[in-house]
Amino acid sequence: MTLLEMHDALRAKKVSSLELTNTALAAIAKENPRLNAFITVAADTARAQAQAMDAELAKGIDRGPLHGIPIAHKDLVYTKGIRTTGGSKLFENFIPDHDADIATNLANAGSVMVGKTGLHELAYGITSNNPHFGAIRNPWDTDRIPGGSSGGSAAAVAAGILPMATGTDTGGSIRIPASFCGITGLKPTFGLISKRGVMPLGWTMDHMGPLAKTVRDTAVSFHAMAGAKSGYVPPPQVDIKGLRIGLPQNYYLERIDVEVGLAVRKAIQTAAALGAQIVDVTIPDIDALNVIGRVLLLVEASSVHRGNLHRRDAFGPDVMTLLDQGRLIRAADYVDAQRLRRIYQRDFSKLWSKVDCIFTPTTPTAAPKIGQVTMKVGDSEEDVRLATTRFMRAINVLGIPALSIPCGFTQAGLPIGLQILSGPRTEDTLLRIGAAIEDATAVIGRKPRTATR
Amino acid sequence: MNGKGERKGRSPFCAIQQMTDWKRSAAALDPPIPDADIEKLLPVVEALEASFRPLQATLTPEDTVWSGPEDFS
Repeated sequence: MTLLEMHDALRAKKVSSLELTNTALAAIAKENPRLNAFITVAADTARAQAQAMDAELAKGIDRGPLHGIPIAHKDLVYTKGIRTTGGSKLFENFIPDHDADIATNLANAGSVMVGKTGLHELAYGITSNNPHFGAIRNPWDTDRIPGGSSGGSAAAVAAGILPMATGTDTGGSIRIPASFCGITGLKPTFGLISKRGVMPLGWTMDHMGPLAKTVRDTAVSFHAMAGAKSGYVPPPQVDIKGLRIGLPQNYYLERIDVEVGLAVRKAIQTAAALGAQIVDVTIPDIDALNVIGRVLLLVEASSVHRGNLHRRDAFGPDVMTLLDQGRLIRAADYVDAQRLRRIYQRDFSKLWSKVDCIFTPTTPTAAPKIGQVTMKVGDSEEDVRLATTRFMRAINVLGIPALSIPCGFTQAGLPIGLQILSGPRTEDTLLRIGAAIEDATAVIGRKPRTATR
Repeated sequence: MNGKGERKGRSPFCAIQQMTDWKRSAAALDPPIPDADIEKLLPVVEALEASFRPLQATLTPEDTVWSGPEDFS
């Protein structure tokens, strides 16, 4: 069931929050040995919370669409009294004494937190192949990565364990796993959702957002995470007639798998058939933005973890390498990267006078295999991390919102993601067009053969 | 639209003299980066620097830092 289907079933008294929660807990017990999506399961507190939500509904208290819905938090999000590891050996026994703002907001919206999902170590990577807690596996093919760093959240949603889980995105960590796992993920505008109480990776690059089965579930979750006072209910029908969609003439449709290119072009045709206007656009220098983003994140992450850098054995080799790189960059270079960021952001923002949004692939390929270091992209062999983040990092530098939705499948049956970009604080545009494509295609909602429900 | 294109005329080649001696930089760190690990890092940091210096060379004193959401408006 989707989040909104659960909402309807709860209101129709066809099911209780406790039953939904017990079903989710049973699904974790069944699927986690296969997927390793959860680090911690909070069964007792979840059942107690579900009973409290059922009692409120019985009294006529309704907190909105998330009331009584089981969810999970990425294990980077502080949860009071429940350990929060960050996927790191350093924090394997850390129990926060307060909730992150997004945990508070989602609890206030009535959701029931059943557990903490696994991630790439310290959210610093895209594979979720965690050296301390084990590799997280993709429900579509358990030999493949779910993407990262929010890999556990994506795997849990894709497997049908839960309709929604939280994620963080510093260089693609919501959108990449959404793409690889065939679900939706929203990286909102920088600063729109509070980061307080979430372990940082890069202060000026971190974004919080939801991963969910459908665009409408994503919309509901986004508004709740942002602390909306009343529960947002998305419209049942959406109209995108006249919306101007940018079709990149450079960069984003280059160096990608043929199947990915075909799926993205088909999504563009679908949008055109729904009445959207397709506008050719030339994209500003994404390679430059990616370089700026790498300088910023390398330095910020090394600063975040500076106090633990003497414990080299506590970090996985890939993370340690990145932290070392960040230590070598000079302060003046970091400041210059922030100056360049402003220039390139202003250049990019001129696009929003020509189009309302831009379609790109989320990732150049479908999910690589666990342990794969390089992969074939078109005719060339590329580093998995650099290739997978190529369409991601610049968007974190710009701070603009980005939605990833499924737009097709490879011949091998692996999901392909469509990334939709728009101007700052225009999430509703993204969610509107995402919902329109969701309604017009049978792609979204397809499940892995082994999905729980 | 291209940030580099609009700002042409400032030579990116002046940056070549600024290339860093990474091994010396690493030796000055506390705690140090082990020598074996530095060797593995060199190709990556050298490539990043080669990409970054030409961008950096386009900056002028009036270019200020990104100020977060304030720069969206």
